Amino acid sequence: MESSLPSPDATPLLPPPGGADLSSLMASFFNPSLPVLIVTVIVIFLTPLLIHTLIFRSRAATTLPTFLLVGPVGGGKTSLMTAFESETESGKPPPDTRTSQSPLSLECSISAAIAGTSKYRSANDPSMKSYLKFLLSDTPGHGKLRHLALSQISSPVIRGVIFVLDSSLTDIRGTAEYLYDVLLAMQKVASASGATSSQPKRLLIACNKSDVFTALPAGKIQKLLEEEITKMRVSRSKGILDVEDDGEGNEEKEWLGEGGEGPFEFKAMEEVGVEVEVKGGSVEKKDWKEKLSAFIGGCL
Amino acid sequence: MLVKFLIITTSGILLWSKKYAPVNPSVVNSFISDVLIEERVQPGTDGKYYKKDSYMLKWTTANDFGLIFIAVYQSLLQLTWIDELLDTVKKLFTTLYGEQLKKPHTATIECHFDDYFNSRISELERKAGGPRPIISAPVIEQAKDDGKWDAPPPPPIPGILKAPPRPGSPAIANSALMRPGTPESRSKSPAPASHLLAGTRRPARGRRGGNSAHASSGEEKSPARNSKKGGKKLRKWDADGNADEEDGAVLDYSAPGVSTDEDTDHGSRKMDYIEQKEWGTKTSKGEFVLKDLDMEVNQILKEAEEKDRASNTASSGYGAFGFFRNIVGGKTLTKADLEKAMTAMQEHLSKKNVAREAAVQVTESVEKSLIGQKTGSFQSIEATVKAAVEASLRKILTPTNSLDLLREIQTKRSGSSKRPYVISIVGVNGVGKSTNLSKICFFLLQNKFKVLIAACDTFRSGAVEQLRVHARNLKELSEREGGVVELYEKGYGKDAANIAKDAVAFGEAEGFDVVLIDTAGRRHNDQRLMSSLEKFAKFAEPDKILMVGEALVGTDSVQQARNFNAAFGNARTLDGFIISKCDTVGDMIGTLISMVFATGIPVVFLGTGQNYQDLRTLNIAWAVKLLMS
Ligand SMILES: Nc1nc2c(ncn2[C@@H]2O[C@H](COP(=O)(O)OP(=O)(O)OP(=O)(O)O)[C@@H](O)[C@H]2O)c(=O)[nH]1
Ligand SMILES: [Mg+2]
Repeated sequence: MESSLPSPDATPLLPPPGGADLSSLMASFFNPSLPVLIVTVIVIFLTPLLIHTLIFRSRAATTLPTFLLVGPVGGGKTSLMTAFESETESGKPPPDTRTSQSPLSLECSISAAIAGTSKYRSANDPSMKSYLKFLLSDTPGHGKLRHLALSQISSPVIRGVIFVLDSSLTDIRGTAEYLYDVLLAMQKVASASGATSSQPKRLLIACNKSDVFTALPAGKIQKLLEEEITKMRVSRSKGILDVEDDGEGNEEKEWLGEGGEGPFEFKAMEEVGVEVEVKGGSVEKKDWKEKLSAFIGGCL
Repeated sequence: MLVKFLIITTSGILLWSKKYAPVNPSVVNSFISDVLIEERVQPGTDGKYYKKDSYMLKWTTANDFGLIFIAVYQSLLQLTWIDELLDTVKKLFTTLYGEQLKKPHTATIECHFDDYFNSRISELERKAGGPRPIISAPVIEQAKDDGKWDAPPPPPIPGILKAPPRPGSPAIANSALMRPGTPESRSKSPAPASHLLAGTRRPARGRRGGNSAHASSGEEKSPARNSKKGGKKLRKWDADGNADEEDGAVLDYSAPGVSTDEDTDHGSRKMDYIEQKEWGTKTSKGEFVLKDLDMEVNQILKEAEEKDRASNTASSGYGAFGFFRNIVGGKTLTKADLEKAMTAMQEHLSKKNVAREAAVQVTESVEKSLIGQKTGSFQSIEATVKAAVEASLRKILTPTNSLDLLREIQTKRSGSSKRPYVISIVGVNGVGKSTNLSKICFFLLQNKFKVLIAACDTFRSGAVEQLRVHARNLKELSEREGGVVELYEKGYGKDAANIAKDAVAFGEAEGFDVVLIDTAGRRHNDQRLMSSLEKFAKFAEPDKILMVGEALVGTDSVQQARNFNAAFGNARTLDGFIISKCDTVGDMIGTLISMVFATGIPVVFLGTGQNYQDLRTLNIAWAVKLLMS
């Protein structure tokens, strides 16, 4: 019905929309009006662009599985990523780093066999072909820029999260606070996707810089962080509501982990679908590639 | 004099650097945090430079490539050309390596920038009246010798070096040595120095007069040389032990060939580069290259300038195509393009009650960050600007450290000291200091803390009585749950600082967990009253000084926040804002931005009503949404 609405009088130069016979159609082709010209030109220009963006989109859709590097400033995220990449890809020594302000992803790979021997192989070894590719995605650790990392956790391409911290743990509270936010974000993702995927969300806490003499062992760090989070989750649950909760009155605050008030343990996160692992290592000693392989392999 | 020049990416990777003396990486890190992330302006610098330790930093950014160029130097003197250096190095670097930088998923690039940089430096020095580099016979000779003396790197240790013909490279390399007799040239032109170390790739150009350099990277170098091939790995990690000073070294590796100090391993690679890459057919004969390089540099700079000019004029002249680009995206933004959107944005922010000054500065910094960037596909300029402003507001409001008051009080109370946690509240008259203090008190009582309220407004009649009423109400409200609250009062007219001090002592003796100090309201431009705050802070030693600001206040907010922030002396600033009466302004919550922007101090609480429980923490997403709506 509606398609017949535009009457020929209204736009005399345009061909009647529906029932034009061939000759009038031809006539209108050779009698282009300004609007027709403009439309044509626009179409001509837009088509390649559309095609381009479509292709571009579909490429983006097939992004490699991604591992997110998070953690406080100076933990060694960028160093870890570049070291990982340079060992696998280019063979060049990794660059030096400074405080990051923007995210960056690098393409890395590990042997499909996740063999610990892979690093002794030369780049020309044909078995390198059977490598699994993935992206390591570095994020800035500065307090003001953490949302860049936290907002990514829910992305479906994220297979695992690696929380990099400095084993000297000079700022336990700050570190635990960021870790808490990461765990909470992962818990939300896990509970949201609960039905659709039975695969747990995986977090590796990478205690970096174990080469430094003030470094604490990974076990000790785990204990300290768990203690801190125990306290933090109590105080957070009692904290002042934020402005947005206003309407519904006293909305329940989120609670990290399952159930009770007792001491928090990373293991308890499994019940809410988040698997946590703690490992010590050092970019300086180049042992992350090996140590991360199992984790990454397990997530792929 | 120049100490170090760095080129880093926004993602935190050092692409190239030139070092004349070791600089602790923390200097650059704090620069990035303070200036680039937190956008703080050091007082007195006007945002033009940054001071840290004994260093000055100047910088420029190339937004389209996500690059930051930083010059670290020791004093303002002599360095009239530093801005030009930054600017031209930026042009050179982006022209030479822009392609590589645009590739996705790349961390490092291969760049051999040393010689370009040195050429630039000597040119600028020459213009500034320094000694002119002379190409002299000895140089050539030296080049010949080099092979012998400096055995390891087969190819080129070019002729650079200067004077001490006996390239005794070890000696030179090792000590930041300066040859006597050339002090003047040395101080003015640090650049050449590093040729000693570096120069392998191409003969050094730069200045070769007799000044020899103080090659600061010497220390790391020499071991490397000794270990020769195979030593590379070893060395690198060795060196890192003292990470601070070594960054130069590490860096170099990132882009082999770049660097100031290369070692033998890279020799052959470098050679390749020379032949294949930028140099085309040029040979590595030092003497001639100097000229070629300078010419090339000038050529690049000239082209870059022309392009600049062209794009400036073109942006207006593009007509239909420009319009089209605006719809489709992919347009490189210039100041002219942004002007309209920026003014609109300023208007918008002003309507949200953001103080004019803050609105202007926010949009200016956004504008700076956008110039040179390309709009995304199908993204109009307006949309791009909007997204950038949104990100900027979010960054402003996000605190660097999160504030968990309960946790902080607990930590303090579980420590060894018996001193209570002290919070004092300041602000201009009538903004709701006492009301918000009572709200905080209520919150603390709910969490079973023992709270002492100190009435230190000894100025305005009725102030103490008002607090007494609050204290009584709170007592009633919390008695059932076992909260303990008391009022510490000493009447009117006495010195507030002393009362505060006594109150804290009293609180400590009586085992209170928290002391909340109410202070007299004062106009932020009342010199006399404001200056008494310094003594107050010294006497009461508050763990937190919170300033209450009214959401209703307009233009004044910036100055209020600044003056209060500065009132506590050099050693102390505010710790947070409480923005009161947020329920009365709807979405016009611009005061939040104005106050935080003016000081970099975060908003801790929002007052949202008359009742004791009407205290909220800030939700940043909520605030940004309201501001942009
Ligand atoms: N000793 C030692 N130093 C390390 C190690 N890993 C990293 N570093 C150093 O730690 C510093 C910070 O490393 P980055 O990788 O920049 O830290 P980041 O986590 O990316 O920091 P932001 O980007 O600011 O969040 C650098 O100077 C590294 O050289 C390590 O295993 N051992
Ligand atoms: Mg980083």
